[in-house]
Amino acid sequence: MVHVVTPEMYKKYKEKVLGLSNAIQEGERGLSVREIADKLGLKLEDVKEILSVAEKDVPLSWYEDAERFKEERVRASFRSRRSRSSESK
Amino acid sequence: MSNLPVAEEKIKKFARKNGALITGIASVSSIDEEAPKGHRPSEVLEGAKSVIVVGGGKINLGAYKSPMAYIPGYISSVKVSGVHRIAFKLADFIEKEFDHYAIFSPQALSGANQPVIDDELCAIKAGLGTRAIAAYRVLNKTHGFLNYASVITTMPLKSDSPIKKPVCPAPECVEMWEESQTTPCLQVCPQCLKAEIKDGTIKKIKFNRMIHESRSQTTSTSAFQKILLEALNEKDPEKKKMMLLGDFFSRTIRSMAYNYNLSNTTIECLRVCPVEQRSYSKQKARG
Repeated sequence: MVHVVTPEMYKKYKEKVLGLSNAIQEGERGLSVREIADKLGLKLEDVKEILSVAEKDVPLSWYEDAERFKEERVRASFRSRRSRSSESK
Repeated sequence: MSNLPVAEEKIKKFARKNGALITGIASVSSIDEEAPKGHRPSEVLEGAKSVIVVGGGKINLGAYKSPMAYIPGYISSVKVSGVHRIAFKLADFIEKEFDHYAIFSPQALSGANQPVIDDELCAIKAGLGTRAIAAYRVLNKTHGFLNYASVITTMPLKSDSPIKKPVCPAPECVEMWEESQTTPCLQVCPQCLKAEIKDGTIKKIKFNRMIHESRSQTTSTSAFQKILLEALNEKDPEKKKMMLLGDFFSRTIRSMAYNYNLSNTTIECLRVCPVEQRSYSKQKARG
């Protein structure tokens, strides 16, 4: 059986672990899994599990939206290129 | 005993010959100082002294000219493996030529998105560029955005100096910031990026890697796990069939099987970077 954390432990530490990690990078660098474990007094393998799940615990729609975002950006980039080129003529 | 300046030149020449656009060297101690515990070169290879960083795999200019959103990401993703191959060969070369241990910096991730070694931090320390707002990546003044890979070795080598003057923000971005408190990259991707510029330099960057991951690794392993989980939880067998045999899940599996579209699949903030676009100026001049 692979090592997993209990849903209760996950819920308790999810935000703390994410906040300390480099999931959102701002100012000081994020902590590594080992550093987070030391700081929160948790086992290294538990922090690995919590972070691994938490980073993917986002809506699936983000991935579908990402495709739409890229398509819209490409279209916008071509529109602005065409308008620049017609302005220069 | 090897003549170190000659060794460095040989190493850089080998990297160039194998496709690197730029190569830099950093001491392990300088990287260890900033890298978090568990991700330091000295923890990856016992007795490590130097890290050689190769930069290359620049996305073809044509990718920026393609109206198909998948094309740039596909090209960019394939280019990453090219740079890894250069570093892999370089590690072999160092062992055979100089009789020192060398390993290609392992890119395997833990369960979380934590690379063993931060190649971009190594690139900064090796003087290859400075941190940019766009995708929090390393920007080189001449070559724009490149992909980087590192070789960790026990061989003591003379380090290159980190670049003192930040490449980002470019002068036109500073101007734009002064007029409207934004830059081209911030304007394109306000969900992933936030930043503040003061006196012409970056004062603050906030990079949301979780949102970025869904854009840069859209049909990748995380998406695979998420769809699989939804499908396992789905009670209706017909709906489950649609989810697992549908277009998005099929492309996700294909990406993993053929090792493409796994990373770097969004270039939208790079597309608008003036330094990146200038790096293609010679190609543009040729039409």
